[in-house]
Amino acid sequence: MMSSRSRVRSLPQMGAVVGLAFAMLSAAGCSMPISLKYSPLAATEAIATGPTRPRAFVTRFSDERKGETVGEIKNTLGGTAKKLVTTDDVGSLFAEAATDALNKAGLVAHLHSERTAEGDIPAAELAGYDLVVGGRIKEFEVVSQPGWDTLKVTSRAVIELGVRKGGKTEWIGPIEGTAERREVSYIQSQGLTNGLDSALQNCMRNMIKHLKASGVLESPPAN
Amino acid sequence: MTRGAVSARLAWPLGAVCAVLCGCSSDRDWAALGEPNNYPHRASLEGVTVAAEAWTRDEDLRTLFDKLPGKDVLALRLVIFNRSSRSLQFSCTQAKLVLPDGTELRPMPASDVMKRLEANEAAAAAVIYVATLGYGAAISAAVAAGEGEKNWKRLRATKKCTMELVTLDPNEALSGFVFYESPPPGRDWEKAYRQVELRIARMPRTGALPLAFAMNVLLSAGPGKESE
Repeated sequence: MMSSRSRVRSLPQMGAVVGLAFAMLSAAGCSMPISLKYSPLAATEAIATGPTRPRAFVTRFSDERKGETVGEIKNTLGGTAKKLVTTDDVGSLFAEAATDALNKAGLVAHLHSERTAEGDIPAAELAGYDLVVGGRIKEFEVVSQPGWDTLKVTSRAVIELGVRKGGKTEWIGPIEGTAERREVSYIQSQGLTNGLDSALQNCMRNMIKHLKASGVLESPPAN
Repeated sequence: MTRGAVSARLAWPLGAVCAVLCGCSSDRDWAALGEPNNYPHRASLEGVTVAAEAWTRDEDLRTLFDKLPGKDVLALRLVIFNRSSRSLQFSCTQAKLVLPDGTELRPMPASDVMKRLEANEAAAAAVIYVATLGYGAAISAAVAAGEGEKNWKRLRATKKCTMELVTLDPNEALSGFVFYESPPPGRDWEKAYRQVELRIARMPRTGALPLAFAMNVLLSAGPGKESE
């Protein structure tokens, strides 16, 4: 039976354990800055194979993410150890990625990151273009979590693609890109940056596939 | 009871059994999916039939997930039969759900569905950590890692059963799920709506104009239930 003296001793110990547990399991409040990058795709599915390649005016993507973070690093117990933030321009990064993907898909795409798909674009600037492409960023995050023997890194990017053609804008989405990696060693910010890069690349590949399946570049539906 | 009526009654349970056997993956086996006429909610055009069924019962959803995503997430199972001579493509971005008030909903990304299923590994780990006065830190870390592993598997399972972008060759059939979140989040689909309309704006085909489909889907019907 526990003596009253040991019980007294165990109370501060218990308090320390609970406090430590909360500290380990809840967000520590610190954030870690990471940089963003986009690695151009090697190739994508071709969606414009005709003799005349459609010319696309690519605008900046609007950032409609709910939070300002781009993910988190979890601790061993599954709590948030660090929130990831960035000072990089997410909207411009997605526009740059879309421009690359559209060019690889057979279009002639030019980046105009000072414009948005929803905003007014002077007619003179649009001269010579067949369509305006923009988007809304819904999700962009990476989460690293310790596993049994490796560190798991999951990342995702979700967008809606806006295509304006003939005065009418059609929104296609949600288009999702995900990536899963297992890192053997403790991941540094570079690994998290690569995780986001992979999700963005996957999102752009899917964007081209969904754009093709939407038939927006072709004729309207039969019925 | 006519033969057709018997077939119609068997379509839902067969679909559920099929999904279970396939580990909720998309199914391209026409024989397992049955005949298009067996599905009450369907639309056909030029040899292509699209059928839809709302999975609202917990026991049916447990055949897909080990946890339930919540009553505000509607799992809509689509079955596409291609009896035409052309290949066709389905993109979930073209499948909108129209509510009785005219609101159009886009599908949920698979990763959003998965987030609803995620276990809070930190909670279980905290209980063990505190209960063992910190001496069970290794055990609680192992529990957290195990839960994390489950979440990892849930992500894969959700991606696998979601029909995002598929191509169907002639004489091929396919089934998979598209998920929708109710507006506002938290509202019970089955209590809020009796039926909804599914619209597939474009389904491109090789060498022909794309097809478009629209059909009503009864939310009180689904696998193991009587359709009206």
